Amino acid sequence: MERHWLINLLELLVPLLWLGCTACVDLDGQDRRAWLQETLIEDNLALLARDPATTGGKFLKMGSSPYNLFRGTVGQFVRDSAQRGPGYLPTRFGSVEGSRVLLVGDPHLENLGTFRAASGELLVDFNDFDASGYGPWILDVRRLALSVWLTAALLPEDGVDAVSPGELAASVARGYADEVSAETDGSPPLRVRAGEHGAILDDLFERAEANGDADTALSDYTRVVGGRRVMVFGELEAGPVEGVDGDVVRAPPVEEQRLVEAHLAQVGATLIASIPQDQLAVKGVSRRLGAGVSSYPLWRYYVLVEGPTQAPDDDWLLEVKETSDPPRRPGLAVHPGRQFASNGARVVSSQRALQERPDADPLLGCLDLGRLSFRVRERTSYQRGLAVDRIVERVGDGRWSVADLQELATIAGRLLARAHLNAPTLHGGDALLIVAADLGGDRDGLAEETTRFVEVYGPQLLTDHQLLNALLADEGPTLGYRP
Amino acid sequence: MSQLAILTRLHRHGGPARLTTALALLGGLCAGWTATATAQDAEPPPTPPLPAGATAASAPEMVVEGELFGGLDAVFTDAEDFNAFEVQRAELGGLMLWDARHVGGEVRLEAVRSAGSGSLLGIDGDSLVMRLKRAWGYASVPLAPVRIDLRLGLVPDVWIEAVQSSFELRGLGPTLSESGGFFDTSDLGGSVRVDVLDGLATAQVAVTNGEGRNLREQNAGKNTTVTVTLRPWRLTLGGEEAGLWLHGVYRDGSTSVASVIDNRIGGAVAWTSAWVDAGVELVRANGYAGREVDATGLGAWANGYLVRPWLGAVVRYDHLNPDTKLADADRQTLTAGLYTDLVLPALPPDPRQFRLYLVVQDESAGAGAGPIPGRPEVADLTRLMLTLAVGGRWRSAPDDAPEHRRD
Repeated sequence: MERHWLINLLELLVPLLWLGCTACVDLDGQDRRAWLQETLIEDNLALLARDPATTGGKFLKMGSSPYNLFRGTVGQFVRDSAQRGPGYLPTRFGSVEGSRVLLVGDPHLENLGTFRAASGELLVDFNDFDASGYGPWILDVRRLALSVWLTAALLPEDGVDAVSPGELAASVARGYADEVSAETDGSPPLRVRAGEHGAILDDLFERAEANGDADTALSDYTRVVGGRRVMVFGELEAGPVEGVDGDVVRAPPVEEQRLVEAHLAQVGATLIASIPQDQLAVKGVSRRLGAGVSSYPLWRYYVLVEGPTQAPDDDWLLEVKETSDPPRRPGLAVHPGRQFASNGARVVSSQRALQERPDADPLLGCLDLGRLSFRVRERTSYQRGLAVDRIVERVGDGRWSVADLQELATIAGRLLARAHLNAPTLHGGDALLIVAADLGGDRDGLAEETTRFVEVYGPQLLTDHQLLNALLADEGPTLGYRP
Repeated sequence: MSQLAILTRLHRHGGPARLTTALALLGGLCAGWTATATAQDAEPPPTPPLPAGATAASAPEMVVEGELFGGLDAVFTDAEDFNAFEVQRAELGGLMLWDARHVGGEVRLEAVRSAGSGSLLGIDGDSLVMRLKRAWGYASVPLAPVRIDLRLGLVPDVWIEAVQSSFELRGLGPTLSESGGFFDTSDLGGSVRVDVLDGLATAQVAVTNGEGRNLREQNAGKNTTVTVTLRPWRLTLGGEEAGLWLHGVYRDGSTSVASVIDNRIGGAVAWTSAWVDAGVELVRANGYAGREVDATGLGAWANGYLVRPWLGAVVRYDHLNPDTKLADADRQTLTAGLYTDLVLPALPPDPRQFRLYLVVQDESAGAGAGPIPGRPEVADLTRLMLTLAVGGRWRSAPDDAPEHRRD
């Protein structure tokens, strides 16, 4: 019987297809640089389209130091942790319910800071919830530990006690497990106050108290002219590198100013305590440039409002900061997928739930300007954040010790656990029970696993920093983005 | 049904007589163009005489097509039970056909969530909004026994289109080629389709940006995709058409600003008939999800009537390995259930256009594939889906040939 011509054709095609298949799959390894370029552009696509110059400034700022790179790459960290990237190291500590815990999202040393609560008490807590959302608690532990590893890795080698960065980072895990154990045993949740938790936090408390009492934020960004407080405009501090703003405040266009003024009234309804609307009467608006790393290109306004009396001394300075989407956690399907009405509402709700007390910032609220969502907080010098540069400098010159850094890492880990345990899970579950069950009392196991993680992923951060600078040199500040 | 299937069907319905007419018309048009070119400064040339029977075919025609997949999805995990009504697909498109269907174009809209996955920033919250899915013009050249179609614009992906021509379960979700992120359903570019011997063999070549329908071009490179479809065995069973489909694809591509490699190679085999359909597709990627890794996808499906048309059964299996160099990095989805075709006197003759599915879907991941490394159970979920799949089509001119199921 004569063979059909199709059979003959298939006999020819199949080996060719197989050859094509093998020929097209012989690439080795991942091109990390290309991946970094692609994902940074993807994460910042809307901002690049809106304001390429300022978004390019963000990338330049990220390139100015490894810690700034770390601060600007939470999206890459999440991808690497969930998608078989270099951060995809198996954990023994997780469960389905444990992946519905309310996360800080981007916990790291520079996101720890002081607050003055409504009662006047000064306390330390996490202060940035832009990346908050529901997810696996182990991700937060690893992110915080990574920041400690990086801080330790930046210390000068000479004159520093012989404690490895990995061991320092493990203190975060031990602190986390200790807080879970303590609360399981009925101890009250951790409260961080001055004079109790080592030299580094005491230094932070002292500076916050001194600057807060002197009201330096108000005096830096406003001044009293003819008995009336007005906004200050200009460059207050130079940027870290060329093309990056330092501390700059500019007068916004009149239309923008009116828009902010018109919408600020919304914030009253979102505050934790009722405040008479006339105390929120706007007296001045400035556009702040240069703040933050991840949020560098986002719009940020300083708004001067009346405060308790008409006297200029008790005016409030509010920061109205645009909020963006949190990093997507690939593969994690939580239901419902959308839990908040807006990003501003998400950030405010998370901050109140995760902090020691919901009134840590009595002027915390949110507002919407059209499709954009903003978080409002008091811009007071009582709110002061940790600075890794200062830690590196002071540990390096011997004013602080590695033991001080280790104590800070432990407290940071405890604070993170307290934050997680404070808030109900996505479906209202008791986070303490869920996290404690995931942990199973294995403090050393968590520490060991965390050390392993930072020792694998930490060096990747340093490599990524070099890759970013190579990209900036080759592609320019916008990394080759095409409008 | 894809717009290409409609076009092909429209072309085929004429059969040899129509083909002869079209060729004659093409000859007449060529003569007309020649006359125009040589005498453009003189009097307008006389309109070439139309061949007998060409008048009706030359009139402009319009085809309006819509699809709607909607229903209730209930999701069950160890942490939550959640259910929601969803609109998985809402599409409306129109084809304009001129010149005996030799030139034309399509505009097709689709509904999408405005905020996208994981985003809180959308239009008026997270509204469903319409956007362009396809927008292209075409010209067709019949040169018996070959027909050549040229398309330009926001064109359908030639591989998705080819496989879906032998895939009836779109109401339950796209093929793995699409759902697994191997191919996007449309892209900006152009394509050429060559049909030989009344669809016995079809080859398509597309050159596109490679960024899909969501993004502008990000790099200078272009994706080149070649597909081949063979229908080696077509027969009539109980008076109804049945047959075997063989599809193959190769793509040379790149994506993103960094020009990350984005190559594909794949094949599919499908059997279609009035009673039972089945198929399997295998795709291999070199460059996947923006990373220079190799990935594979295997999709298999089967469906058939138990009591036609009132009750049918369906089973689907999708297996995705996003990085072949890693152990246990695979994810799989198993779907099984029943469907019924709603046949009412007022409805059009093809009952498959009003189908109700009730299926259970189970998703799971390998030890190294879940969103939490080492805890694959976090990705496990079971879904119960009740989906109504509705499709409809209206033509300005009556069809003059019997309905083919797929072409």
